Amino acid sequence: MVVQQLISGLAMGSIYALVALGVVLLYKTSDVINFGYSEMSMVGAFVAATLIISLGLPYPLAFLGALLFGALLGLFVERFAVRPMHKAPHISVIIMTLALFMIINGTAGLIWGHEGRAFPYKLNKDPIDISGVVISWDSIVIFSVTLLFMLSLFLLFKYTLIGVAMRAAAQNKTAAVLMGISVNRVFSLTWAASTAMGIGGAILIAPIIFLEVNMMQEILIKGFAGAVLGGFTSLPGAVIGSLLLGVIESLAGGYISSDLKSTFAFSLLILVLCIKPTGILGGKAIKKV
Amino acid sequence: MKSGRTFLLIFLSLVLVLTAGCGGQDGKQPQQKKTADVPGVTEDTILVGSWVPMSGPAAAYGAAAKGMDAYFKKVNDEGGVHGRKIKFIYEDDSYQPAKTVAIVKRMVEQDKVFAFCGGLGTSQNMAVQDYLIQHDVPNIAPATGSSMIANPPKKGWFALYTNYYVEGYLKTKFIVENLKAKRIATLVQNDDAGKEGNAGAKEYLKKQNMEYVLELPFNISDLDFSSHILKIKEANADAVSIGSVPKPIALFLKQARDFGLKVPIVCNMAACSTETIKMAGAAAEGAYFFSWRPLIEDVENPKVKRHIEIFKKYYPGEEPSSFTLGGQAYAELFVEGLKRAGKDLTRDKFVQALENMKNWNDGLAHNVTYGPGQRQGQNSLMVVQVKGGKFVPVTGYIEKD
Amino acid sequence: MAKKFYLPFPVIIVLCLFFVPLVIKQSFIIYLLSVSAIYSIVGVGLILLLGYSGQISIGHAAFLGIGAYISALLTIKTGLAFWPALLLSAVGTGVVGFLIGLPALRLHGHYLAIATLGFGVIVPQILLKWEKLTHGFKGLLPPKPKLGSYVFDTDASLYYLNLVIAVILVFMAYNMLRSKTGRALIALKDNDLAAQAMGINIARYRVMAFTISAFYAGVAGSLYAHSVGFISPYDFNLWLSFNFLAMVVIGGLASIEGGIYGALFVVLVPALFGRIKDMPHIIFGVCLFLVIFLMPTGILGIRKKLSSLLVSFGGKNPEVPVKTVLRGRESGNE
Repeated sequence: MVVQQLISGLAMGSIYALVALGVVLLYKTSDVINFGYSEMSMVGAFVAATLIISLGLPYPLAFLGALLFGALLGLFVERFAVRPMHKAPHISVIIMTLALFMIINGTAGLIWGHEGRAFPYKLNKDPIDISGVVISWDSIVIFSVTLLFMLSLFLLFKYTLIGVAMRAAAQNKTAAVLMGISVNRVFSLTWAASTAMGIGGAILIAPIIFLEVNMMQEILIKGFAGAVLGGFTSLPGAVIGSLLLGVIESLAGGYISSDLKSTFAFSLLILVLCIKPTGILGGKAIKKV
Repeated sequence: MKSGRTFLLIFLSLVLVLTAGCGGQDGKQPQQKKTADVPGVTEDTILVGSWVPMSGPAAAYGAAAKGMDAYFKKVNDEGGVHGRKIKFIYEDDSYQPAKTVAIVKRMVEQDKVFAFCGGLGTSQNMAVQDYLIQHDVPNIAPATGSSMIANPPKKGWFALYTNYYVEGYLKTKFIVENLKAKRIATLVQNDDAGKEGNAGAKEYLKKQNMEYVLELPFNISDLDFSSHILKIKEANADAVSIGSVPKPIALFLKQARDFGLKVPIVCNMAACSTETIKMAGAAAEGAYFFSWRPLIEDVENPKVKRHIEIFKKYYPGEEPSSFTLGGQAYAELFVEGLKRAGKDLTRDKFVQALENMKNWNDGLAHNVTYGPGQRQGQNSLMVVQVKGGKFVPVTGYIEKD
Repeated sequence: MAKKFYLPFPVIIVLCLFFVPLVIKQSFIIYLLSVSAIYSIVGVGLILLLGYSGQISIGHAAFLGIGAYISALLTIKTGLAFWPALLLSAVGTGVVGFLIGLPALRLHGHYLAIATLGFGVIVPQILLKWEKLTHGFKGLLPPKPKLGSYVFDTDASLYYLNLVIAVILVFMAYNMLRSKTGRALIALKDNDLAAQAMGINIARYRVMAFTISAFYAGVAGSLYAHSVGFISPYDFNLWLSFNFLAMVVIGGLASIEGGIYGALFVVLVPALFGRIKDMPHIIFGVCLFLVIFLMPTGILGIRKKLSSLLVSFGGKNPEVPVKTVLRGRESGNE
């Protein structure tokens, strides 16, 4: 039973982690928290489903198509909503993403309706059963993709030119511009990449939690929490925090109370933050003078 | 404070413009001859109001309003009721009771509706209860299975479909008598529907000297049911009773299949929707559901056929669903009440007419019966099972004894 | 405290609002304005917290819920009269705010945001679970407020009640900001290290801001419970919290009068579009977007421009320069 709880927790946690990664990527470079992230990802999942159903595209092509759509959506939002607000206070940008949330959610409801449905593609494999411990293939795929994303982003930041530019833009915009880095281009790229990642995540998650306009909201909130738990600025931290959140929820659900599991998870989050205010792997908070 | 005065003027004019904007609609309706000053009733119209969520987490239920609207339009095209056309207005409350209160006040005092039909949500109905009673506005077929609507009885309040309590009772009765289960596990949703259903279920179990082997709460937003399922397996249950809305039910069914839970799963009426099968797919096979009306899948049924025709006529391009079907059932009750109330329509006559309704079966609902102090219209449900991706009836209508 | 009696502009606006029921007879508008008055109390408290002390709270609806439940339970279960219940719910919610403010001392920026979001998620769930006390989903039906033998049971009377209390609280907030506490908060906002160097006890004022903000939300919660007449746990969900946040940003964070404009906006604008089928969410989103996009300093900014166009304004406003309200993104990061 404990093993199964742990596995289920890790499965849920890797879903949160997938979302947390995109959120942290965006935050690391452009310093923005995007509450519309859940809805942008959801739309991508619907686009993929529409490509499969209406155009009859095979799954991999539809997946790529949706990623491309995501990149364009990210570019569009950055160019026409975020960039013009570069002088506005942070909180205004956060509220702007809340407005995006409402607009995208409402529009998606108009186009696809509010009723849920199954995602038109699923792995036709029975779950693995190792002496009573069940692991679904979806979870294995999500877990691997999460690790893959984390690793490639980590390497990207560390060793590639664009990664260095991203880090530079994140650390000091003015200096980055002086060094000849086109900060705007870096931001555009980050938005495109982060949105595409969110959409990739949503498409992988959709077969598990179904296709529905509100599908990503709960997950985004847990993804935020996971990211903060692990340290908001650290990519490995975001993944570890999210996995931990999933496991805590699962164990609390199994041994304490099945309906108060997120209450316990969030209480623990607050407790951890009180002890270590920047999360588990978060760097020191630097006081600005 | 010179500027203060300037702003007083600006501000007051702003408020006035705003109210003019809000009140735009009542200026448009020319005051027609009214019959004996009944609000919302003129020589040739009757104004009916409703509220549904069209945005936010419960937006899917909002389709019920379209089902009502389509039926009212159809009645109008056939000449209306006693020569009066029904004007139907409805508004989005985003499932927030504080908004519902504002909407209802506006409809009662500004639009002057005759009555409400199919207002959605338990909290939402409770929030406007005192106000509607105080203003003597009838509230027909509120879209909730809460027994608080009809219990205690309120003059103008007519609950249509079977309440959660009776549903819970019938559910365990079916599990014990038809499925011959001895060790029942239940998952109780943490809200009025879940709690009330569970109370009804326990009344039956007590009569049989039985108890649940396992009783687990869950939240409507839960995505992971693995720990619930593990415990059910551990408890060695031979049947599972669960009640929720389509998405959690579909999640539960899918995960139950993944974990190899092979006992019969009995679900509730709110989840008895094509949506559940669409989501859960093969995992829904064999699951039992309850329903208070024919199912939208049952296209051979003349009543369902009629709904599909009506709905497609007035909402071309939109799909009829369980929600639109339910909406029509509310509207049917309303129209039937109007017909029986006669030409000289008043609220009292309307209430009287509904109160005298006995074993009414012309609409989608089954055996609707009201009486003095009896405000719960239907008390029966039928059991259906998913077979080959469709709901197939298992029993006819069964009633609480 | 302030030496001179200071009559701020928003108070003038609110005074205008007193005449509304004489002009408008539709009670739903009075009701909506009544809700706006309640929300503006929350808004003023949230601006003290966010705009002045620079601490974010994404779970502010939870404070409203706590206030509403304390007041409702006291009047229903113990038969206490409305007025002491109002006071107790304000104090009780203030105490909760104080307790939340303590750990918040160690948290900054997004960490505080998520911690308060967690608080906003937890409170409705506990209210729901604690069925013996709160009746869970069935909710509570708090009685209408009474003053002596007078019952506030019409929309207009409730409106006046909420308005008077809102005016008093706005007035209190203004005068507090002109006091030592207010100056300390503003200094804290501008530069906390410099403030500390000046001998201001940062921790004390941070916690104080949380306490005051929760106190305001508690008053609002009590008024909400008795005005709407029905409360259930999920009425105080994250959506409402987001609405509150949107409200103060739209209104303008630089001065507490922003809370009043924001409240009017989030209550009245959706009511205008409720009957447009399938669209209300989208339209409100677009409105929100446009306001933020075109007026980054909120409605307040427009009001300022208007007033400087008309007459130069009498009286000094203890306002924070707009620039310093939450570090602009342009200013570079650490």
